[in-house]
This record gives sequence, structure tokens and C-alpha cells, in this order.
Amino acid sequence: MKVRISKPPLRVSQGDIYRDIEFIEYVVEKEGIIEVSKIIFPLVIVLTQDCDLEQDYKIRYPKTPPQTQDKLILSVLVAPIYNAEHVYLGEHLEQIEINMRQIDRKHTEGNYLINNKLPRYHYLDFSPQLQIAPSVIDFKHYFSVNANYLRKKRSDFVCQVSPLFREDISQRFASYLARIGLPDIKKKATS
Amino acid sequence: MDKETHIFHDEYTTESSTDTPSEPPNQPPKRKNEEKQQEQTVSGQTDYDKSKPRRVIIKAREIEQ
Repeated sequence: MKVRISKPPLRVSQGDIYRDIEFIEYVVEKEGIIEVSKIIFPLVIVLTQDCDLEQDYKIRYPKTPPQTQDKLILSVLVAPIYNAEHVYLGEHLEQIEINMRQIDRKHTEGNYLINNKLPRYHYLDFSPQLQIAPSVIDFKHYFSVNANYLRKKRSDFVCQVSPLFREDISQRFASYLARIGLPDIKKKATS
Repeated sequence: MDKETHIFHDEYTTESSTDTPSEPPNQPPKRKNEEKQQEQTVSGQTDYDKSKPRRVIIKAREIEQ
């Protein structure tokens, strides 16, 4: 995979990778005490279409005042990136008390993961400059973050996946989301 | 919470998680002896690996104006 390592860009783009992004699980208020639970993801990748992000930026920071704010987006879609080693061991979510299954790297499934043949995952190998271990995007764990929040996290910008490689990720994510869950006919027939 | 600014006042904010020496995201897992060293330097604090997602719970009291 090819990435651009540069200063934080002016706007959020598809394929941007940011560190320490917060996902708000819930906010409750009881007797004047407000409780906020959040999960902090070490790395995430932006999945929202780049044209949407570009139009949103033009509306938020216009050269001339726009007539409408029709193209403004409320949130940006991201997916977490996990350390591949932790994914193989099924330990990547242990700190948020979620048990994940192991993937045997020496067998077929492990090879499928590396070669991006498992629809749920996308394997990433970073340039040595970045000092990030081989990682895996988990499309099932996608979530949204506030657009302004992400813009303010520019200091946590890591790198940007280059065109074509990011389109590959986007296309695989779209395909994963659009999958059709068919009922298990064999199980239904026996019950 | 300050009703005008909607900003929590720090003195009323507590986080359930504590800071520990961090490693860059997604570094390969540490060896056992490295983990032990980290535990020793932050004894008495919750040890967690910042290369994995972690949960933080914040509790704050609303300030009456």
C-alpha cells in the first residue's frame, strides 16, 4: 500500500488516517451528574467519499458566502485500524472487554486476511518511515465522528492512503456494506 | 457545566482511566519483560496498552448558575 506522509492537509480527505479518535458510546445525566463513556481508537481511516468532504469544506470555508448549505455533512464515516498481530491473537479489543476469535495466520484464513480475500477486513502494510506495524481495517466496526471534531484533530493526522489504494479500500467497504445476508436454509429445514 | 459555554469545568471532571507511558499506535506487541518494566514504572496505576482501543468514562457535575 502507498501512503502520503505530509503535513496535515487543510481539509479531511477520504483515506486520511488519524490517531486517538474518540467514539462516544453514551451520555447520561442523573441527579446533576453527567456521565460520558467513550472508546478511544488508536488509529482510524476516513471512509466518507472525498467529493462529499470537499463540498463540505467549501461550504464551511467559502470564498464567497454560499446560497445554501445543502452539501454540508454532519458526520464523517471512519473505521478502526487494528494491529494485525493483535487481530491474529483475537486480543485487539480486550481492553474494552470484547472477546474476538483468533485467526490462524499459518492456515488458509490467515492467508486470506493478508491477501484481502476476507470481505470484513482490509490488510495494510505501512512504509517503514511511519513505524506502524502491519494493520487491519475492520469494516464491521465502522462508526461516525462529528465533522468539526475531526477537523480539530489535524494535529493527530498520521498519513493519507494514496489514490487507487484508497479507492480499493472504499470499494471493498461499499461491497461489504451492501452484502446480502441470506437465511441458512439447511438449519431452517431441520428445525 | 457552564450553561453559556457548554464547557465542563475541569475541577468537576474526573476520568476513570489513568495515563501511563505510551507507545506509538499499532506497535508490535511487547515482550513479557518489557511489559513487566512498564508495570513497575507505573505501579499503583491501571496499566493499559495504548495500541489497543480503550474505554474512558468521564463524570462531571453540572454547575448551577
